[in-house]
Amino acid sequence: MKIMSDTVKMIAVLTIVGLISGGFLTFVYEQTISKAERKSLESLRKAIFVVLPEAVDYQELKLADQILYQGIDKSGQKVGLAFLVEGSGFQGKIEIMVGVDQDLSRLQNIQVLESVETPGLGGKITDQEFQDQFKGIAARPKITYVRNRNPVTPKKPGEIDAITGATISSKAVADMINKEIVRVWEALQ
Amino acid sequence: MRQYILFKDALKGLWKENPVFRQLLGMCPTLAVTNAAIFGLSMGLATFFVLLCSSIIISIFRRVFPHQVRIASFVVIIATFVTVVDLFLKGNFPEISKALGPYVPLIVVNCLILGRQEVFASKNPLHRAVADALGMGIGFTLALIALASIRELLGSGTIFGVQILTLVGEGGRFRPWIIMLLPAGAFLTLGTMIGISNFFTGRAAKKSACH
Repeated sequence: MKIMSDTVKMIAVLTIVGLISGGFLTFVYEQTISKAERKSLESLRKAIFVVLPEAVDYQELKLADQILYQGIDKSGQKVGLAFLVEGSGFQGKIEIMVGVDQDLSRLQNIQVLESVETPGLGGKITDQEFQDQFKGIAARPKITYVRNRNPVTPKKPGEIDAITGATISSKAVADMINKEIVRVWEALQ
Repeated sequence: MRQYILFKDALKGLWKENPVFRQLLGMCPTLAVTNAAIFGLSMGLATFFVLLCSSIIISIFRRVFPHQVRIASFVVIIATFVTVVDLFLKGNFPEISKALGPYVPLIVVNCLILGRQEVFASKNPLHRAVADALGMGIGFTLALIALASIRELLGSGTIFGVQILTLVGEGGRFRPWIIMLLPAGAFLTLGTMIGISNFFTGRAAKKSACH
């Protein structure tokens, strides 16, 4: 009889602890999650206008398995497409917003939204200096990177300098943009 | 007398039983997120909040938990507060939340917190449990800030993002020690700091032995 009541007490206490915790968390979740979603939507919106500098508004275009953001300027002209690019870097996921011309021939700008690359090395992909290299470069046939450029050789179209000591991260950024542009191009055909 | 005990409960976490330097508890966040002072501070405060809230709840209901399922109950309570902190950071400080990544949910398994519940909060009345949690929480936070400030200073020349050492590129003489920002830098700094703290504790012990 003693054992029985012990068991009942154990089950009762654990059940009550679980129920109260669950209820409390549901409440906190409801309070905070909409805020978190709004924040991340906001940073996405901001990024679209950074990568399409001429755009003042955008429309979502839903394709088979990707979403494109159609940039529109003041007079209603189409000024380029923006889309999210995801891929693996040296340590984890990299997420980049990319803006391209309407015919996908030229990159307008990029913005790295998420990266967990090594600080001080691959982490430099979030530096303005690295991202600015992508401004206005040719997107076709593809973006290439060079290591330790000789300062006198001129840049070829569509070429960027890899970050010293972080070739893998630099390559990852170029590769994932190339791949996604091809995918978008194929989807639009 | 009562106040003296409370004072002692709180004070021991700061130095004599400091979770990082003396007890070597909670090493995972200590090593992982301390490459910038702001992350050390955030992780310290998050842990502090979880520790304080769990200690309060567990101390109040300490006679309710059956012995066999006490650890399971403690973990559920701790996990609840960790989730609260995680959601709070996601909603209000998305940047910090991203940078700390999985280490916020991992506070659940920080042995410092479960350790204080098992050793102290579940056996002592509320006011002593609160004093203990305050001391341990502040001790942990200060240790993380100290460690993170040293790593940030040597690794990027800044503390809390404020430039202290001028970099070579900006006309100064300081070249950042990238290694301090990498995991190896955490081990080097922590080892040195524990060594220094042992040196002083050892000296104090010798002195008191003489008297």
